[in-house]
Formats: sequence, C-alpha cells, structure tokens
Amino acid sequence: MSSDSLAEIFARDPLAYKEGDIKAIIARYREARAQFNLGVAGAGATKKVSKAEPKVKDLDLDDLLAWNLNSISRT
Amino acid sequence: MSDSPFLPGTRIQFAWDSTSLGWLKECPRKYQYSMIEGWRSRSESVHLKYGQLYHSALETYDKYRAFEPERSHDDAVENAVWEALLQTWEYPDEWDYRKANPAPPSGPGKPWLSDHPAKTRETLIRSIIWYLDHFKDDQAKTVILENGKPAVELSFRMELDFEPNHVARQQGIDGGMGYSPQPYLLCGHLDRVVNYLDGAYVMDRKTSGSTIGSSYFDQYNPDNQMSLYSLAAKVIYQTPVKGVIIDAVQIAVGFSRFSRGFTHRTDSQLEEWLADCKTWFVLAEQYAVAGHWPINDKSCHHFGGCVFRKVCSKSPEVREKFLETDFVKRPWNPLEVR
Repeated sequence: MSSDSLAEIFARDPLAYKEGDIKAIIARYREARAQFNLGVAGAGATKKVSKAEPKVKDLDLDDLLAWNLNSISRT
Repeated sequence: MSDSPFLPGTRIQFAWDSTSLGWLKECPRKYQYSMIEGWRSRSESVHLKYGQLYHSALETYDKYRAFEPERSHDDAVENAVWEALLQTWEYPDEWDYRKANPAPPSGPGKPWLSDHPAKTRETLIRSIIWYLDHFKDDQAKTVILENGKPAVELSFRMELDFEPNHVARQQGIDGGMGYSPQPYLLCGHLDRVVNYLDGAYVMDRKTSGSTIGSSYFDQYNPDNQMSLYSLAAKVIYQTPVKGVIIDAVQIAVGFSRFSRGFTHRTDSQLEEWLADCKTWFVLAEQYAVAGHWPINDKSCHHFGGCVFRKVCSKSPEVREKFLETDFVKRPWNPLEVR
C-alpha cells in the first residue's frame, strides 16, 4: 500500500497512480470513519498539498554582495 | 424521435421530467427562463455536479455488485472510487476514459477544484467510501426484473395517452398548428429498485450541506420526483413499489453523515398525480402558444429564494442584460440519459 499522504495521492493524475494508491485512499478514509464514529468530529478532513515557501533559500551571490555593501555603508 | 423535447418549430414541450415539471409548477416565468431559454445560475453548478458525481459512483457500485455478484464489496468500492477519481480529474481536450478504446490524454490535466468549502473532490471520495461501508450489509436487495436483469440504472420514457395540441383540437381548430400526434412523455432515471422488509421500493440518494433532521424527509411528500419514480417503477418495470427509500448524506468539511427515510405512494395518489400532470401540460401548452409565461410572484421567496428573483425584480426592458451577466445557457433536455 502507498505510503504517500492522502493529499499527495489526490494531487496526482489517477492514470499515473501506483499500485496500492486506491487501496491507500480507501484505507485512510476507513480509519477516519472509525475515528469519526468514536467522536472525533473532523476526522474526515483532508489537508491539501500546499506549495509553501522553502525555509532555506538558495543564495544569489549578487544579493549577498549587495547585502554586504549595505552593511558596510551603514557602519 | 427528435432529440428535442419540444414539438418541431414550437416551444411546446412534449417530453417532461421531474425537473422541468417542477420549474413549471413553481413559476411559469422560472420555467420560461430555465427550460424554454436554458438559463442556469453560474453558482448552482457545483451542487448539481457534486450530486451527479455521487450518484454516478454509487451506481457504479450497484451495477458491479448486481452484474458480478462473485466480486466482493471491497472490489466494488475500489471500482467506484477509481471511476470517481477519473471523473474529477480534468484532462485536456475533454478526454473521457469512458469512450471506447480511448488514446491516452494529450496532457497531464489537473484535479477538479470546487469553489464550495465542503463539496470538494476529497469529500466526494470520502462520502462514497463511507456510504458504501455504512450500508455494506444493507437489507435492501436489488430487485431482479422479469427479464432477468437487475433493476439498476433504469432510464425510462413513459408514453402517456395524451398529446399536445389537445387544447387546439378541443377549440375546434382543424389540425391546430399542423402538429403530428406526438404523445406526451414522462422521462427519468431510476438508480435502483430494491426489496426491503415489507416490499419493493425505488432507491434514491440525496446530498445536502445541512444536518438531516427528522423533518428533512417531509419535503418528499408531495413531491414531483418521488411520485414520478414510483409511477415509473410500477408502470414500466411492472414492480408494485410502495414508494421511495431516500438515503441522504450531510456533506461537511470533516465528515459525512447518513440518514435513511421513506416516502410512500398509494395507487390513488399516483393516479391523482398523473391526472394533475395532464392539467399542467395543457397550461404549458397555452403559455407556449401565447408566447407569455407569467411570473408567480408568490413563489419568489420560497425554496431559499428563486435564482431569478434579481432578474424579475428589474424592469422588463433590462432583464435580458441581467440574465446575460449572471447566468449561462445550458439547455435542459429530459430526453437526455444522464
């Protein structure tokens, strides 16, 4: 069975699904249903894959030099 | 038979379904805008689409279990989920997996993105899985018709003993407007007919964004669609149904919750409903001949507010502009199999 998250599977073209993707979707929603029946109200919600900004950016040398020059001019 | 539900060269509708009959009964002007002119609110499409997708998936499951009983519940669920995922992925060039021997799509496509917070692709798949598991051991079993086929996915066209231009003939107008004798048709689609406890029922599924309380099912008696379904099952499929089982689902962001209700119809109720249909059809014919469909201004604030209320509240000479701005044209055809 797929180890990808529900959101990752949903974001893929169904024609490109790997073996186990459909079973994984069904299994995860069945787990959610079991949780809901135990009283977890939002158990069936699915988080979407978000295109978040990376925490570490690739540095551009020109940016770095410009920063350094700015630092020098303030001192 | 023509593909159009109207008599050729006229706006006299001969092929009706519960949707178009419902529009006429609510308000002739709403009927004109919705059926004669084909206007649809830009915002209503997500509810219609979601309901159709949900229906389609459950029908896939029903057919799979009915025609391949050796297959398991889990196999049928996988099949239904797989098809729903495909139907909610927007391929380029409107590529459709259901076409015979389709070539691969020309591009990657993208997932259907709903603008509704609860009725999304994800909640659709969740609702399908949860519903099918909830009713996995359902006592409602698919009826086997006299022809040996399971009673699933039954489209029907019921021919009545009554045709348009009845009014013109009654008034002694020879040949009326030259119409050929096309009888009225009542059209529709039954998901499934089942045996359940005390008898046979049509089964229908409904989606809602609200809590399904005990009074939810009261809205289905009297009701066009449920009466038509009961009549069709009795007349066309020779199954003496007691009424309709309605499986309703509340679709929320974090859960789907199911409720089952019943609406019953006696033979007398169905005879009365059919007799009333003929009266409504004569009225529709009169409006079409006159070229005028009056506003029923007692209906504007019912049913959550008519979608055309903003249009009808404007002066007649500017209404067309408001229709063009807020609506799109998508003709409704009761003859089309959905």
